[in-house]
Amino acid sequence: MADFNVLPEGVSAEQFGNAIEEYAAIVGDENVFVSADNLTSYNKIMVPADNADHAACGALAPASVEEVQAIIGVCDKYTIPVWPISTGKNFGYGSAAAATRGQMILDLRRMNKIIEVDAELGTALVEPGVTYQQLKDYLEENNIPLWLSPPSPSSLVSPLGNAIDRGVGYTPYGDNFFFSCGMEVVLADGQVLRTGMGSMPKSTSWQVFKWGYGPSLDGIFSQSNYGVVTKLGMWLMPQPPAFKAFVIRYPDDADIEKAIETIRPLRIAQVIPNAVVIAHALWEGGAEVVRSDYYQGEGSISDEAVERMKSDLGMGAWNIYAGLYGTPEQIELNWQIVQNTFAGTGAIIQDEEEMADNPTFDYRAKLMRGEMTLKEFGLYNWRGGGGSVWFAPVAQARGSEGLQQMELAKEILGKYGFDYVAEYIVGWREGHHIIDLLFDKTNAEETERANQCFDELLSEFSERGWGSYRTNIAFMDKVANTFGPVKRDVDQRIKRALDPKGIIAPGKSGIYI
Amino acid sequence: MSTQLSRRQSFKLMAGAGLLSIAPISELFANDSSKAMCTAIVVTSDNSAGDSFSQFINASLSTSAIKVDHSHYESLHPLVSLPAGSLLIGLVNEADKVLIDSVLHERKAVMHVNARLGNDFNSVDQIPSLAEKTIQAALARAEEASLPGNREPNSGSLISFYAYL
Repeated sequence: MADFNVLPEGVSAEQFGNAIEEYAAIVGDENVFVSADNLTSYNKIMVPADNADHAACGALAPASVEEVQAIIGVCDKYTIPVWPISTGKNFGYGSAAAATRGQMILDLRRMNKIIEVDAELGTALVEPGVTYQQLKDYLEENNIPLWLSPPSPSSLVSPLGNAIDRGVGYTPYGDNFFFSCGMEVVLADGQVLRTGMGSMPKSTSWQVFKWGYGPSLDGIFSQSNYGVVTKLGMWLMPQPPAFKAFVIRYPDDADIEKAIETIRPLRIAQVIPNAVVIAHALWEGGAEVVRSDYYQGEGSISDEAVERMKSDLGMGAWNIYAGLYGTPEQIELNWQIVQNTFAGTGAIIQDEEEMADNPTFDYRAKLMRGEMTLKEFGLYNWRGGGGSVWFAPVAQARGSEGLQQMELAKEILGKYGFDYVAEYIVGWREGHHIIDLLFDKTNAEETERANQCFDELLSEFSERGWGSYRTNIAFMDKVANTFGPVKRDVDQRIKRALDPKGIIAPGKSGIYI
Repeated sequence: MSTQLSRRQSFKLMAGAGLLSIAPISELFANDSSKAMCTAIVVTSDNSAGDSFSQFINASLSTSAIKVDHSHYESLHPLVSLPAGSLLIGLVNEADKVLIDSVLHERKAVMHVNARLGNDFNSVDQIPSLAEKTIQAALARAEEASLPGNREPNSGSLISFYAYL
């Protein structure tokens, strides 16, 4: 009998060995991974948690929906929990690892077919293993003038994975789940559900009309563990005739209030239609330079050091990146509106011509027109040590809330000796406050401190009504609790109805049977 | 022709006596991987420490070098097409490490960290020792060798590593 490093809870080595043989009969020996070496990559997590708590019992790489169905059948037979990933690049939220120890990773990267792109309707239907880079290459090779809206790790990431985890991009189609249309889902009993219009045989409108008939189900398969999503419809943005990127800089931290108040009406009126980023200096600079060049003392980086860095790099305390899209005439008109709106607020406005050759502006502009760039990975060089966890509370897009959140975050991060590396992403009416808590994961004391810091951030923000829109594998239960007992109870009742043995991703978003 | 690092040659290298023939990277990729005993390739970030590391190894063991830069996705492409059985020996920063990890995962390979160092690590005295220890670790398939003065907290970091494809 093979010697397994990790077993699913309640499953004997003999039972697990039998299951492995059955999995191999489905996907082939070469797509079943149980050795420690083969599983190492699935356990490389950057969040402040003990990797052992999230170690997988194995990984499987199916190539088709039928293979996923058969795998689910074996999981059901042996009660082996399975954690689906698309490409496993959920950096800052747990990467490819599961919420609990002993799950089988269902690695869907071999399911990488672009099934359809409709150039006229601006739609696509993709499998989980398709990456943004792959889809971008396909559009270019076929001269299809449609734009994508990738998140910052762009090239490596799955559009399906990002959308169903409710990630965001930076074009006007930046709310990736909002711009999805139709799913295919393998349920725990092996049935295949197509949502929206997809349930109807011969339907031609699966990718164009979201709601179908009766209850709309797509939402319950996002950030959840009610099924394995094997196809996703997407709406893609037609390439506009013209595009203009610009940056608006404010000098002081307290200017976040003015920044949000000024940008909000422009967002709601869709003068600025894209997901606007308001990046703090430490996010801007953190992707460009290393911390030790400016500060080598204890605790959080000093204000003096931040000021020196701002001066060296020519950046503001807050740097708003936004774009205008449309015909040249529309852009000219909206550019006048933007300039007039910000005039007299203390802001400096610079457009593409003024920012030519600025590498930070260049990568922001690329993201706003749906191009691939990995520039933001530079943040991992800021402090070093490979630790990163994203804290992501949501608030109203109001200056007063933005200011309060910034002050609270800086206070808590400072208490634990970490830096405020943050940005706001302003949607239509809300602000996603994204804080990258960077730490040295090779240092056990610092990792524990980062864990405690994240815990306090979560407690203090939720106490004030600011919930997280997304979280990492080590804090899913705690975030679920912040949304109250009724929500948690309903989540659990749906889970019990659809997956009574709890074999699909137990612990995802704090949902168990 | 490819650069192949046998155990004997590796030990010679560690003794400072190894000198193999130069292998252009294009020829390396064209090599029949099934016949490759161990094709060694140096992978570094685009910085002075990486340059020194690469130069030192090439002074003793002429091999091919790949520079990666997280800002340019294309710089990772050579890693995707390297022949199976290749040995990567590298010195990279954290950002590049995360991306190389991603590529290695796709290739079912694992990055083994040998040492972590402060970003100011670029000493002519230390590079030879680091390079030799990294190769030693690769041959022994060991991790986290201890180096004198290894790592400075909160100073960013460079990572020396090896990986077998």
